[in-house]
Amino acid sequence: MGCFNLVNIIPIEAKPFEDFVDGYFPLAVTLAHLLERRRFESALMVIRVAPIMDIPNLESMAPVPLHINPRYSGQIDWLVAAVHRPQPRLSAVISGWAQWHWNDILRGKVSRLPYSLRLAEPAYVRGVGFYPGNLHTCSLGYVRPVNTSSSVAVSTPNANPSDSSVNIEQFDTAECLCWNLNQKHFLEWFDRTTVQPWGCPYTPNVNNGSTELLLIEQRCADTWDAFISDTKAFT
Amino acid sequence: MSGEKSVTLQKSPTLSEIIINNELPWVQLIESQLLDIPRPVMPLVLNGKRLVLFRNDGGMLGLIGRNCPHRGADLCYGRLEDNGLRCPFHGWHFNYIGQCLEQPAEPKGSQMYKAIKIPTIPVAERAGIVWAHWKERYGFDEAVNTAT
Amino acid sequence: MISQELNDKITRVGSGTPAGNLLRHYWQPAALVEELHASLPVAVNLLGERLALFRNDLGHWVLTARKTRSDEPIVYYPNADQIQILDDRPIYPAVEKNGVIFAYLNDSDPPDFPNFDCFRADESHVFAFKGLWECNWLQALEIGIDPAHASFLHRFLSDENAEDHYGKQFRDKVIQTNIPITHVLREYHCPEIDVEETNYGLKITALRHMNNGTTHVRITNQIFPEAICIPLSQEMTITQWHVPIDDENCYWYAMFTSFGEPINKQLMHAQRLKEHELPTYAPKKNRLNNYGYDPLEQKTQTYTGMGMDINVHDQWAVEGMGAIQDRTREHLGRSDKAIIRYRRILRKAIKALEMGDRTALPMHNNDQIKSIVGPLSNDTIALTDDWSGVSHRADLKRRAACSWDASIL
Repeated sequence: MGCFNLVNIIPIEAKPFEDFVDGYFPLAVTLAHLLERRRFESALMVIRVAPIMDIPNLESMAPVPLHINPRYSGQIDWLVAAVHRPQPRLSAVISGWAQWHWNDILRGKVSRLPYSLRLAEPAYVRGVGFYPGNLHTCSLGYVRPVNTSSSVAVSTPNANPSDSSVNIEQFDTAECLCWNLNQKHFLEWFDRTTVQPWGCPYTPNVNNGSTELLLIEQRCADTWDAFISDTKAFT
Repeated sequence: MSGEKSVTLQKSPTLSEIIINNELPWVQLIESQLLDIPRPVMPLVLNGKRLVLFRNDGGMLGLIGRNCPHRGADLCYGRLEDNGLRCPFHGWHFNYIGQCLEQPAEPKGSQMYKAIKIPTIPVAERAGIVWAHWKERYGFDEAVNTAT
Repeated sequence: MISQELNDKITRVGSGTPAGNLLRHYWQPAALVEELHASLPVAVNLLGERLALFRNDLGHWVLTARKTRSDEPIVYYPNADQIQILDDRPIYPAVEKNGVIFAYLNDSDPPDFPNFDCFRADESHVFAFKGLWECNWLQALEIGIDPAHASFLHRFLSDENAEDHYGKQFRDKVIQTNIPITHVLREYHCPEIDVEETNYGLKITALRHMNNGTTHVRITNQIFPEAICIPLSQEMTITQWHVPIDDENCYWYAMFTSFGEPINKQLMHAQRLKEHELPTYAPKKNRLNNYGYDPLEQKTQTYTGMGMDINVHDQWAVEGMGAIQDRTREHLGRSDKAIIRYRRILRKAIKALEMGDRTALPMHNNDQIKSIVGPLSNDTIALTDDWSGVSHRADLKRRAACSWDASIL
């Protein structure tokens, strides 16, 4: 446990889920619908193999073209993102990493996904959702700490280290997976030029707590396995 | 329209496909009276676009693309009800300008229907003739969607 | 919406195509045994190949290429004496299973057959039939893994007398109730759908929560790569393949399997012969006669206006999409989740074969394949608060009472 700034590790209430999201609307709208439906404040989620499109000059809720055009279509092969909706009815804020390709090879060189990104059909999503509470995090909004044990915890520079109700003993680094939620990617863009050790077992060189981390206990129930292996599918 | 064609239409409204090639801004389609039938829905191919012409409960005419945007079912066999045309495959309901208004099998609260609009051509009736405003067609992909 | 390139990849089946290569790693229904009563060989058009089926010197069923005229129709049944076998082509193995000849169009070793009910039931309890659909196999399959469409496409505006249900889909009453299934489908049209990946494909659960505190639970299955297994009635299931003849035509092959009485095959056969032409097994209602469409019937009796036979409704839906559905203009919804999950497995399997990894394909591990049983496929009614487990218990009960060995331990 020595490599963590332990006082900042706070168990939070979390629920693994699998679901389908609509396509067609901008991804930030689509994922906001998902959070709303499941009453989550935020989520960490994975999408694998999903057709995408980026239609120029289309309003967010307007009808989409009836035909997918190679000029603006492509595919996400793998995407892991922290998704948070700052306020009800707003679009979600998305940060994370992805692998994808565009059918237009000229566009293929761009290393970011646009904010106007849309799924071209509904997609299967696996993830962990977090419920609204009063613990402030950078990437996951205000989440709910738990007094009893939880399989999930955050380590955040903004956590209140004096919260004595928090049970940190259960976390043993050897048995946790650790995701870096560093806010520097917290943009309306995905950026694959700076891939972090995301979805990989934590390696003990993360610094002293200024980085926001999400920890998931490896021993928790089977329902997590598929999600965890999906997050590691980055190749 | 020839008298001969109108007879065929009345006999079997779903069989006859009217084919018109005319790229003027306004194109004359049919005599309005051909739609004075119990189920005013007919297939029509205009400049290669496969379409369906129908009159809703309120008397408005719609001229919209023929395949349901969901999974491509043929809307010429649609159910003419609730002031629009409903696909018999999953009940998706479209109004006379092709906007989807209902997807009854989608989970409650789904807003997907807002993103779905079938290509459409504005229609007007003057002196017993149905005209299509070809120049103002909306939503067609020019490269494809041609009759085969 | 998917790209044209991807649509081609998952639909086209000729030799050397990605999906064609995948299907060539599974046993394919090639003919009904009832078609072999005439003299051999019998012409079989399968996966874009023109073949002939006959017995080799050892008495085993085999297929090989036959000489083809360029103007030959795609659905073609010449007499045996008109068939000329080409002797320099690969010889494919074929086996007979409860009324269906299955063929394996590949040089590699074929996998074993899983222990599905349709294969292991007594012959008296399985009836096989087939029918022609003039469209690509994938759209034919996808309608079968779409639990929502039954509430619309197959809607009857009133409930028919369920006494006349034998051998027909959706006409039985729900088990232990007096509620016709037609009523449930019509009144509860927005099912909650759950899709689970299994070792044979997908288990699809459609829950229709009714307003009396109970839930109708319908369990259907996708059997990889191109079959489904669904309930027909309280005592029968249907296991149905959608087999490509070529890219733009397919046959459905159905194995009706009874867990109760031996099947009245004469009746089942007569019901279906009324709707099909021989020797092509082409439906009498088709595109050329508008599938028997009657606007008045559509207004008063059925959702489609195409009669009471639900096969015709399905045929209209899938043929109306075009020879190969243009998926660059489809808009799936969340209710299509089984289709989306299925295509993920399909793409994964195609990719595995491209990488040369046969072992990654579903049902390709012969050590485990015999332990693949069932699949569970039934309609039940359960308390809405406690529906989980009811289907399984009803299945066990039906299996325990079965005259052939239907155990799934």
